[in-house]
Amino acid sequence: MHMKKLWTYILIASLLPFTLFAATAEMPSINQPVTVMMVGVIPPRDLQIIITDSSGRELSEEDAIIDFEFPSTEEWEVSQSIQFSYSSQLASSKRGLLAFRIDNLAFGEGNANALQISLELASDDAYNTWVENDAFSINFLPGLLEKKEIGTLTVKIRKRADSVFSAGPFSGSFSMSYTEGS
Amino acid sequence: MKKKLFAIALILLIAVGWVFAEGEPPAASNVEATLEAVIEGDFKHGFTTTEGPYKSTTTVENAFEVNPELVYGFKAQHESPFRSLMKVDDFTESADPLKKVGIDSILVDGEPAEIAQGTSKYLVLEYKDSDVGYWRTKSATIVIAPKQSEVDAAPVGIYRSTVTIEIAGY
Repeated sequence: MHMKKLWTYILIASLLPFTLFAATAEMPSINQPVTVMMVGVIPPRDLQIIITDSSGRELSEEDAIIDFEFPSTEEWEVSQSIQFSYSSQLASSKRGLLAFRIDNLAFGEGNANALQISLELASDDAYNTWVENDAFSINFLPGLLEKKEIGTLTVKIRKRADSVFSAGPFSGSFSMSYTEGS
Repeated sequence: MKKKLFAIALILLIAVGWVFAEGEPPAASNVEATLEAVIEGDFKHGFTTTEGPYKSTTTVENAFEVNPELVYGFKAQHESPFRSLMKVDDFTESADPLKKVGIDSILVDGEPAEIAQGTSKYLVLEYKDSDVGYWRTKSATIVIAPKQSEVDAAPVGIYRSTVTIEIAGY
């Protein structure tokens, strides 16, 4: 009987520390530091291509009109330039092709009395922008970039002395397309 | 099966052997030993989370969108004064530790955090001389602001910063 009691004490005494340990396992003692992990995420930001005219004004889809004023001389050449740049925050670099297409400036219906237009593309960033026909082939860089220059597109309209055009407004369209990974 | 039972009984005997080292004690001896353990374990410090106070670890998400607000506290009865000291690491990007976002400001209960005397860590709470021997429950709200200019310029990635609070004497 006495031995049975002893065994009961042994069992209780031996289990008590384990019970206490379980109860205080999540409570740090005076010697244990406590920590907080703060997590912040910088998400990737996709490409935004910015177009500005020669005065530095940004052109939007609704507001992309380029006005030309033709001289009243027999022979002339007029030009206007627009600049292309991009803002982005990419995780890694990627390639893209910005291609341009412009129609001749026509007077009224049809193309019979149209002014021929030529495009000139140029870029100061030879490492990341290549001119391929009427397109910019671009290597978009990773990291945060604000208005990183792509290049300049110059639209030129020329009239030779022997060409005859009607007086009045001429209009045409200008379009560009972007293809990723080209 | 029998062998296993024997082994456990032997370990238990060794573990509690000290209780009976001087012969068979009265039941009160067992109680005394238990009480000592309770006093040791009742010191609590840690962060308040959705699961309650005094948690040893927690995680705060969206640290770049909302300045992290941490509630830290302790409940203690101690025989000597002590301080809760905090260390805040810069945010570093998981894949590239060279990419960092620094800490702009740290507020403790609305006041700029101060470096504890004789240390390089921020003072959060104190168990002072006048508190010695008494139960004290204290807490502080800590607001940590990352450098916004560095957040704006930081490369894409997941950034982590560790805040550590430890107890130290004077």
